[in-house]
Amino acid sequence: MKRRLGALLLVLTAAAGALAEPAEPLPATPEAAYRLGLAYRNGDGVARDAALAVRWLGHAAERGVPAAMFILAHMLAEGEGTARDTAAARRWLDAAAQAEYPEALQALAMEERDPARAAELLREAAHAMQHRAHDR
Amino acid sequence: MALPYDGPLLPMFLVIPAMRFPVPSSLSPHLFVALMSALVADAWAAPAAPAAGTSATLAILETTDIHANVVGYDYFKLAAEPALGLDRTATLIAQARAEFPNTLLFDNGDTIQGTALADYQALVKPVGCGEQLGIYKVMRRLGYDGGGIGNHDFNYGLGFLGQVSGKGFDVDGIQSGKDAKPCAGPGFPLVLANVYSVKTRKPLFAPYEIIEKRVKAVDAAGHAVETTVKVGIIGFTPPTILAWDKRWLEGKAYTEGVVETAQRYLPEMRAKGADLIVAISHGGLDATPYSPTMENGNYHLARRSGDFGGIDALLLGHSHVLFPNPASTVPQFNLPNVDKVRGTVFGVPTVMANLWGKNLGVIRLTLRHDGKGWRVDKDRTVVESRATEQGNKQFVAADPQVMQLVRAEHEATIQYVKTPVGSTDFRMSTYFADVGDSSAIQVVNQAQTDYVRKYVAANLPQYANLPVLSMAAAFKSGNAGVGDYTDVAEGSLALNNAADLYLYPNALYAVKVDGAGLKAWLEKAAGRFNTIDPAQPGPQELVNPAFPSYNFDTVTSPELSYEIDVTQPPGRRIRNLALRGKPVADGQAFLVATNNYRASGGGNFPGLDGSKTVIASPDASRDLLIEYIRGAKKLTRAANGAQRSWRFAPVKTAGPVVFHAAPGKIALARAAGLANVAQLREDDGQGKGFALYAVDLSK
Repeated sequence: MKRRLGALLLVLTAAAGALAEPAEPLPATPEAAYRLGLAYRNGDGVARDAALAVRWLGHAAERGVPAAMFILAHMLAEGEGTARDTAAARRWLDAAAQAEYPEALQALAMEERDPARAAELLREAAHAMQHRAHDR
Repeated sequence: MALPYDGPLLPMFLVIPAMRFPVPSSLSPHLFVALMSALVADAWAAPAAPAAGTSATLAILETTDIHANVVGYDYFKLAAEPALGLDRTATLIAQARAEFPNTLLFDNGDTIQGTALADYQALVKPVGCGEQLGIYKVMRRLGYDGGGIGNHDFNYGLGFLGQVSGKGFDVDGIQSGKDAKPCAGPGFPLVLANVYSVKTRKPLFAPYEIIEKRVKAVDAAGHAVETTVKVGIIGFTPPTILAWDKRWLEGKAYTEGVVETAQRYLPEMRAKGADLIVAISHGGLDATPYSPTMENGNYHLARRSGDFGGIDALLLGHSHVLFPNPASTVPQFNLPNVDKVRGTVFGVPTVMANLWGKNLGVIRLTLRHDGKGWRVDKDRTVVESRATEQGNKQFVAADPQVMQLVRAEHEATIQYVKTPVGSTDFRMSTYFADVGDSSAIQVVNQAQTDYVRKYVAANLPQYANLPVLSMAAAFKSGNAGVGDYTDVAEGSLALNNAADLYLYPNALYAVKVDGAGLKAWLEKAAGRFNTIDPAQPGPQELVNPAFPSYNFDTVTSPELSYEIDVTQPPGRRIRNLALRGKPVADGQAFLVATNNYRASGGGNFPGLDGSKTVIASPDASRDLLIEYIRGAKKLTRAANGAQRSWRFAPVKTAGPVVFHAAPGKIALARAAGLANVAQLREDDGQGKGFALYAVDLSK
């Protein structure tokens, strides 16, 4: 798994270099776009660029990568690399939760004022974590 | 079971809705078949073959994703939970049966796993071969006519599933069913068409059944008659089970795509006389291009079903949402050809009844016999879901018979979660976590550190020389009221106490960060505090209520030390950060144990967004805490509840620095070694029951 990620990052670094070209090649998969977005956000192997991070995380989020939706929600909420947009942030957080992304369900639970609803969201998060656990 | 599965329809699978018989384990299969045949002949002597013009209404009822919530109860809070449980769905089922002349009740799967009761019956004290699972006992009493199999039904392995379903799978590594006697099954047929044994190349379960449903109908002249409708049921589960439960299924089972499976079996079912076909498919809708391994293939199943003879009712699950639902914003129900108001997918009546027994799905079909077979009057089909919640947190009454049936299993589960796993010689609480009490935090950090050290030693030799730290926070600190603190009494520690010590359903993750990243993490956490002006003579609030306690991550290691200077603005508060007495360098590498929420970006901590994760453990944080306590046997204040890595940077303030916590707890602060805390007022005057405390930052 880790080796695969390493290889992926190498590919991404190459892809990042190619982005300067006028016709930018799209990352091969939404997952690759997500990793590229994180690389730009953290300056991992590329120059740190929050706007490009938002762009590639957005690309991945729109193609159904819940982890990208979750980080994009944070960046929109904080105005990191983009104009602050709390409504859009919330939409992406909800979308990640609807995709049963455990961290998004937990985030919603943490800010939920109705204890019964919060408990329900945590049960959902617990359930969603089992999918991830059994995936390994 | 005694007879290996040999074809789609054995006589012993015939279901007579009004009559169900337990299969005595002593009864030979041959005798049973003979007995059933006699009963079938007797039972079906009365109703006449339907004549042209006969009409009937048949309501298909669905439950899904019950997840072993037999009764509405939270086994970690040890309290009733009316928002879930088949005991309340039972009331909806009874109401539907009173309303409709003819009903068939099906369950969509994810049935046997998901609560402490399920774990108890599968892992702690596994049910014997002759015993029925609690959930099946209840479902049988409720008169289920059939069920599908969900992905989570495989979670306890093929041996267990084969046993409790009464099937006994012929797969490698599991005792062959050929010589074993059949175990008690659910008492109604289970169908699953797209999972096969590698060994036999045959489906693990009956792929389909054809139920001869006796119905009350009206003949062409308007007279009440009794007749039969042949209803075929076929089951599907997500092919992704092969990844999710690889440990159980690899080399033993393989899957087929839902479309290919439908293509194989639907025509066969029609040829065998099925008037109606009900697909019980554990999955949702996904409009991305079809693949035989896709998780939610039912959009394509509905789209293609007409090519294979058609599906008359599609029962969905797995996604834990409600369909139909005009208000749904769920992407899968806002696809082309999905009618979220009428409840159709490519015109196929479709329902998904949420989860945990919260809803009952109802597909009402109006049937008319044309002399050759039953036809559905599609314009009169009504799809709906009914909720146990009647609005404003009012729920339909629970059916008391359900609890009566499983009282023994329920009580045993409660005893199980109350079973001590160890003990503590100190009270573990979070009333004073903000001012340095680690009594409920250190043991979490110890468990996490221990896990990561062992994991690295076994699996990640490249990190063997890195210091391992751990972060934990007070998850409960009065946010939901004065009773909302972690507070575990001195004495024995049981499983339910672990839920108090570790509230969230996290898994252990570890990240690799450098010294600058570690400092940034601690800086973010120190946002818990307001900026204090030492010169201000009046009282100043210590805690920023907009920054939740669960984001106040702290280290409790003898190796790390740091100060939080609350006189500085956020981002400039961490001082004297040192490892083993030496200042931490920006480039120095660390492994930090935390949880999936934080490591994946929860709380938006700097640099933590999934990119630093080096261990993504499948093990729940709460479970490894339990294991740590089990290993330690007895937690002591000195070893497990007194270590602090951080202190407030000393500063003399002109006025008091105050905070709010539950009243009358000052003795706990003293026991934690916090001599600089005092209770100023029993009632802080804000009307919520909190007391006002002060912390002297100069000490």
